[in-house]
Amino acid sequence: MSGLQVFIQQLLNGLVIGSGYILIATGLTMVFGILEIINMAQGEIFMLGAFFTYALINAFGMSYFTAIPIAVVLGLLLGMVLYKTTIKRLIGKDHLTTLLVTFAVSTLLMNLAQLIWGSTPRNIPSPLQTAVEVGGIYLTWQKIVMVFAVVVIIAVMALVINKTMAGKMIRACSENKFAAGIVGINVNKVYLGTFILGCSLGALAGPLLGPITYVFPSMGQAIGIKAFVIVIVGGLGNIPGAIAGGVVLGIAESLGAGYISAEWKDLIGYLVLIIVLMIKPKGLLSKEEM
Amino acid sequence: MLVVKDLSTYYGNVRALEGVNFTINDGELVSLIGANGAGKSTFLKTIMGVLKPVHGSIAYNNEEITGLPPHVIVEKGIVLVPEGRELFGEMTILENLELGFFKNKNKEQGNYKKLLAQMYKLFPILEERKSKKARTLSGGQQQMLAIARGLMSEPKLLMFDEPSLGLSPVLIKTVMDTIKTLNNNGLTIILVEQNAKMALKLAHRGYVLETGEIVLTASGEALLNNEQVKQAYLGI
Ligand SMILES: Nc1ncnc2c1ncn2[C@@H]1O[C@H](COP(=O)(O)OP(=O)(O)O)[C@@H](O)[C@H]1O
Ligand SMILES: [Mg+2]
Repeated sequence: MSGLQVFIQQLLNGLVIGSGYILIATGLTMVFGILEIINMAQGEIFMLGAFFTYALINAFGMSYFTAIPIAVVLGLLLGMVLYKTTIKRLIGKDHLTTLLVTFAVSTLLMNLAQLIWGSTPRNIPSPLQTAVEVGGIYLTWQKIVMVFAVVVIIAVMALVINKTMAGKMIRACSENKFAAGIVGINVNKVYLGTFILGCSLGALAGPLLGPITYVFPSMGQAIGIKAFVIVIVGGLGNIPGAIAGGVVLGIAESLGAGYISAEWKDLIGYLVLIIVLMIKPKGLLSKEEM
Repeated sequence: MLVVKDLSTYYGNVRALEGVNFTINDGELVSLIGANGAGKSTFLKTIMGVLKPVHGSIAYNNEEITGLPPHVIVEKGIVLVPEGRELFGEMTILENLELGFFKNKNKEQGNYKKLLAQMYKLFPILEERKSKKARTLSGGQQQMLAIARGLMSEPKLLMFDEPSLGLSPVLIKTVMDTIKTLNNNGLTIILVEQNAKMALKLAHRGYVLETGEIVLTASGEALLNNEQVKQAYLGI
């Protein structure tokens, strides 16, 4: 492999991981933008999305492609249960309370998964694991499909948010809840809708990333914190910022692992956070300079 | 049309309204005046369902609406043009107007185009700038958009909270003329103002609010000639 090939290979691997981060972080930042809650359990929703897929394939003999939408629906239902039991009560509370409570939820979900599936890493059998080679660069179909899926989802979301009435309701609520209420928007419904959409995005990352990594109960922890980092780097509540942040973090990690040391991979993410926040305290895509 | 009885609203332990009685009949224009911090906005927000009263009742066309959420209140035809406009600044002018029509989302949409054309006729600047973000408008234009957004909700009772705030005298006159015309066309209006003289001249009746309590009520003209009002609010 030439130096350039290695570089491109690392870049593409970073893009793949980054696209997974994008799904998880976009859900997280949307929820923050509307509910003003940082959901520390978002990583566990991702983990459960992966385990649901694993279980549907192994226990019910479903195909990978049938299991994905069902896993996402299960993630959505889980989101609904979380909203009705916990999240609803956190709206308007201070950030320390919301962080602590959602952190408790994340611990609960992780231990529940541990109880059900144990801690042995599992593998999601995907039919897309065959590799393709282009000009000395190797990628599995899984990685290619994942990146395309994320691109399509983002395009659809952009369309929904900018053009549909549901999107206008979401934007209205994120800008001014008082005004949204007095023009007739049921703000509580928008809270619920946004939260379950955020959970669905997180859950979808599970079956997409699962076959690339492995599936285990604590897999959501590191990625949950990274999504949190991305959301801050991108600017709280800023969806384009979360997308940019996801790509940047994925690529920075991959290049760092390739050129410095694999052990440095996670450290690099936090380094990126600190640097970005030093230069742009309001986030990557903020217009205001320091 | 609207009968408010013994209404009290608190912010935590802080009293903002105490035992307010207030009535407005079909087709009336009623002004509510009072100093800064008297509780005028609190009163409108309580009617709108944004704030929950600790006691008292609000009846609208003989139906109890106390404690209903804002999106239900607006569906009944009570609409607020809030203090400080409260527009969706990052959304276009057209989107703001569209959201004004939001409460009709489940009903026939035929009225939308008709109402929109009316708004553009009333405030031509809104049509000119319809695809610009609302925050790019000047203060006066924003007030017009706020009024138009309110009218897009097809109000039966329209409540204005300090529509003259921050506007030049010329613009204030435009806004007040608009309010008068709307009332002449049959719309029932509650006008909250710190600018008491202007508000009372326009109104059929007026109420004076002081530290959360109604201290006076009479016809607009009688209040303009009232010694107490002259001293406290008209600076005479
Ligand atoms: N969000 C709030 N929290 C606590 N106190 C408030 C709040 N809003 C208003 N108040 C208080 O309630 C009183 C009435 O306020 P307001 O209704 O805004 O008066 P006005 O509209 O007549 O100027 C004031 O003393 C004000 O300080
Ligand atoms: Mg006020």
